[in-house]
Amino acid sequence: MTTHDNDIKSTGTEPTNRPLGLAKFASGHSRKFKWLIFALIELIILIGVFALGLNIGFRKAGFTYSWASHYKSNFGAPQTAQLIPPPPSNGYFNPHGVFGQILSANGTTSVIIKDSDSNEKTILLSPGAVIRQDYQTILPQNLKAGEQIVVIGEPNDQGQIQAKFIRIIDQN
Amino acid sequence: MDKPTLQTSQPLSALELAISGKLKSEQMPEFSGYLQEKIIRRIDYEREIKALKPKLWAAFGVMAFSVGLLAIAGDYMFKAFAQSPSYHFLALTFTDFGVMADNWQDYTFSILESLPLGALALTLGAGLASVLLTDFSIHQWSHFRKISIAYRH
Repeated sequence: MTTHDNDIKSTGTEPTNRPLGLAKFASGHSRKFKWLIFALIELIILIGVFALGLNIGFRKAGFTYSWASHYKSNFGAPQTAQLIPPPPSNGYFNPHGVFGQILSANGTTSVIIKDSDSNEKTILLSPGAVIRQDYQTILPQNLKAGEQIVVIGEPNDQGQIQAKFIRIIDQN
Repeated sequence: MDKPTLQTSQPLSALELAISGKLKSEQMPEFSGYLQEKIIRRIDYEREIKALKPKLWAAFGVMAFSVGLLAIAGDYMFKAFAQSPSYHFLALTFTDFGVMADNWQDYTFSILESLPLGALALTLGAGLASVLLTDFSIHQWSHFRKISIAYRH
């Protein structure tokens, strides 16, 4: 076979294997198609992060508002008292977790703690809450004032945190 | 006027023509093509090095600045993490993994809510800048080395 065999002139009517037009665009070989896919993925990630930020911001703002609204009732001040809650020193409060020192333990129902921003938080102790110290699970009545705890829980409408897990931090 | 003869078959550049013209006008002895090529290579080398040196210095300077910024940002992030409760929440993954897995939604939110985002963004930005500028500096340095080696041979 000589090289002249390949020199057959195209008539323009024979079928071609190369994709054309929209088919070429969507075949995955087009640079524009790859950019479009890349831009769409970026957009989806961007929208996802924005939605997550919006959700977290809404929860934090809602919890801070509830905490301020129920400040008097949560911390035992008379309703006639002029008690203004301190503003959060670091933006809004975290509604799902808190780290701080126990100020008072009220038996098996709740504890009041001072968080890292020196604000009081009411932690409700439900029967299902797991409380651990070192490797042992302990009872709610064993919580004592002065202990450092980490709480993971869910906020309620009263500006309190319903504890699901509490770990007592060893201070030594 | 006879054109100077070089050992290459490529057409003469404006620089080569200017050099040969200068040699002829000064009535200097005829240089061989090899010597003329060496002169031209040397001029080309000096010209490329002259153009590359400011880029190289700038690249290394900006890279050093970005690495310094990364160190400062890292220190800032470390302090921000120490002040936020994120550290305590993250530690629960290792001590109480089972309970955290059961309450993964509240646990995830507690971490996301407490992350020091400003310090984190600053550190990640400084890290990205450092990586890109280090890559740019290495590229410039390898270009510089390639020119130097090519000239020697």
